[in-house]
Amino acid sequence: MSFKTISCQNRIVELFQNAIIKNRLAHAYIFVGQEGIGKTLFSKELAKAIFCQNSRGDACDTCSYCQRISKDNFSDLFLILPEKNSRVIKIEQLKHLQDILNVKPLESKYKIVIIQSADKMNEEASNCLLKTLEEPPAYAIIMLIVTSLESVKETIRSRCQIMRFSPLSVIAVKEILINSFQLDNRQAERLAYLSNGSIERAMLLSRTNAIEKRNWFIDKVLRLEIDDNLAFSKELFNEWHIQDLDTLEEKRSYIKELILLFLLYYRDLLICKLDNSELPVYYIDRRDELLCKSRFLSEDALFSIVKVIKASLEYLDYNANIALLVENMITKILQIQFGNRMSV
Amino acid sequence: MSYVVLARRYRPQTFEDLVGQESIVTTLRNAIRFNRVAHAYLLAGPRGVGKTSMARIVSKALNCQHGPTDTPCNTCDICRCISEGKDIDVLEIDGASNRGIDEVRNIRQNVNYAPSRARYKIYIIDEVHMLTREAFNALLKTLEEPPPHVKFIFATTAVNRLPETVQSRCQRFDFKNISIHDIEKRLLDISKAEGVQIDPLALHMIARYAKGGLRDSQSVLDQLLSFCKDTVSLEDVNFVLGCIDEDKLLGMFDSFVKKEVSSALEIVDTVLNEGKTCGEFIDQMLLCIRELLIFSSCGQDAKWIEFNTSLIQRHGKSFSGDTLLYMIQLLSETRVRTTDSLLHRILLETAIIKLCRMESIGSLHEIAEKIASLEDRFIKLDSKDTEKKQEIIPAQKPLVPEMVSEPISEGYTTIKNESKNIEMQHDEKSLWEKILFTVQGEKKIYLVTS
Repeated sequence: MSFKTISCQNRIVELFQNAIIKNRLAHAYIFVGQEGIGKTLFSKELAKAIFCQNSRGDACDTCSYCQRISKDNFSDLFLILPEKNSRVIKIEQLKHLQDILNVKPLESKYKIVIIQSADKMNEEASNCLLKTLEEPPAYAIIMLIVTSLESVKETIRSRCQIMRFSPLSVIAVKEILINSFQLDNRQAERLAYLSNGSIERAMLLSRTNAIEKRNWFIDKVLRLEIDDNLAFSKELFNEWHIQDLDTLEEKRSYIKELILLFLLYYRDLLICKLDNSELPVYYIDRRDELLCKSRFLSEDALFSIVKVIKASLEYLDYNANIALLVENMITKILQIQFGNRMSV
Repeated sequence: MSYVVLARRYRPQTFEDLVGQESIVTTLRNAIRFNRVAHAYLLAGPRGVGKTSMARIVSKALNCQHGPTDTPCNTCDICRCISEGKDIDVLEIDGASNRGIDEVRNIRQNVNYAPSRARYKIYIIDEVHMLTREAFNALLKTLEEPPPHVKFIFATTAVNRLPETVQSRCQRFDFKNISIHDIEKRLLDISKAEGVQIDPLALHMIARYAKGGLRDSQSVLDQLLSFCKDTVSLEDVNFVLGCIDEDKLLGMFDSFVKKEVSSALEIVDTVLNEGKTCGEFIDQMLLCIRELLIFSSCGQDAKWIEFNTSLIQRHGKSFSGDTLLYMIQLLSETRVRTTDSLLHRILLETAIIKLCRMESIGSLHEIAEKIASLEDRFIKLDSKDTEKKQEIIPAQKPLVPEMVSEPISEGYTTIKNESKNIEMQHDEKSLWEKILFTVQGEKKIYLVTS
């Protein structure tokens, strides 16, 4: 493994290789990009490239440093992430980090700290990091990994160099799925279309048999009638085994995926309604059926449906009753779809 | 030795170096010159404007071997130690990491000891807003009447989180955001010192993006220097800042005008594939619409804003003010806080389709006028009705023999007219309902109320 394994981030790789060779590494970086596009992988590869004993600007993967980093077993590289059973990174963890940074590196010239999900630092923790981030010891490099910049405080942002990671292309996702996860060509391609450029999402979809579920879903949803609302939501619950899930958190993330299915479906209908559009649709293999269906729905109706779905996702965050939420959403959608506006 | 970032290397070391805080600099220099230095200062202001630097400069000025002076020498041992943050008498404390009452008790104990080699013992507490309530309260008495050899300097970005009792014991200085012009000048100096050529447009772009924080701009410049060869172009800056090319933004507005949904969505697709987020995209669209809105309502008189000339030339007259307001409303509804990029993308796409389908919205004034004229017509119709009824009454009196022939025919015609009128009235009513319905459907009523 070296920078070669990083796909679709050529500019960032180039930038860091340049910085390593010119000895212009800053002391703090923020890596930002959606989840599952290889930010953590990149940060490790970067650490290797910096530490590597043999080559400059990339990892050799043969020296003892590189190999130990691959095995998460190197004394000058630290990883901080939310503790188990905790959604946030706490101040104690960062105070511990300060202690670590006050000690000089044991083997190499640098000490690298990777803070994963740095947007999960709570108020105290992120303030605690400020002074360290501003003027760390000369040997320290701190990398913060976040999914969106909005959740990073301005005071932190201003102290770091910000690197934006782009989502992976469909082709890249497909290749990674085939090469690293041994999926067959056809499945990899379909997952790649649905992944929105994220390997993590693609893997989640493949783990949960999402493709079969999607096919089942679209078969059903294409043939829905107005008074199918309650029956269909019941069927959904059975098919997805919602009742079997233990924690509320699990249920909620599952339902979120489910609601996204609806959103994707109606979004695709909207795209199909546009004339001669070359835009990709998510349900690529059902395009003809979608096209046919889209003729029966007006754009206005589709807009209102998208609005209903968006509202349902918001209610989900407010802890609404899941069964009622889904029933309500489907009822409203069907009513709009069959031209019978509810008086809300 | 490893590399030190620009923001640290070019940290101001004297009062002259501090950019954009002239009034505070003058006040503090005079205080030092006339020996009127207070025992506690509170430096407040946004990030990256020089609070920590100011705290260090003041301590150097007070403790420098060459007297309390407003021009610290920066060469004596004490000055150098302070710059590196390791002087024995100037204690720089990270308020966010040492925030409990125990740490403050520690300070209280040590306050009474005289400084070891300099004139004053100076406590700089950075990020002071993170101290706990107990810690603040424990500090109060010391802060009110410290020993003569002790000075406190607090620096914070969130001054409203300090208890009033603390604020009232300090002299407070509010640091301003640094103007684009000042930032540009400073960056130019730095790039000259570093021996790099930078496109002036690119510099301007960085300065604008920094939104008043000098350090923000220095971080960006640093990033650019570390991966560019010897020249920095506008395109590099766009990449580093995550800005969207002007062409694409203009293309977006073109497709709104031409109502080409596909081309608009294609732009969205390419922008997102470049790694920009939906949030950033919406923000930049909003900024453009804001410019157009200000241009459409104030014209060239708006001196406080720097117009993007190509945008104004191309679309300054494409949209009415109310259309722009509608666009802002729609896009800000789409600007949800979500980490789910797929969801956000779909919402953005729907909004874009809506924007492309949008008919030009007449001004509120026009709509009001239309309503008024319709009302007028109603009133006229009503009054005509009553007139005609009055006419009909004499027509129903066929008692007067000499008038027989005429009134009957008249009555006949009026009745005919009346029935026509009723029909018309009916039309008018359904028309009005239609108007209401379409207006509601297109959310134009929304605009009127909001």
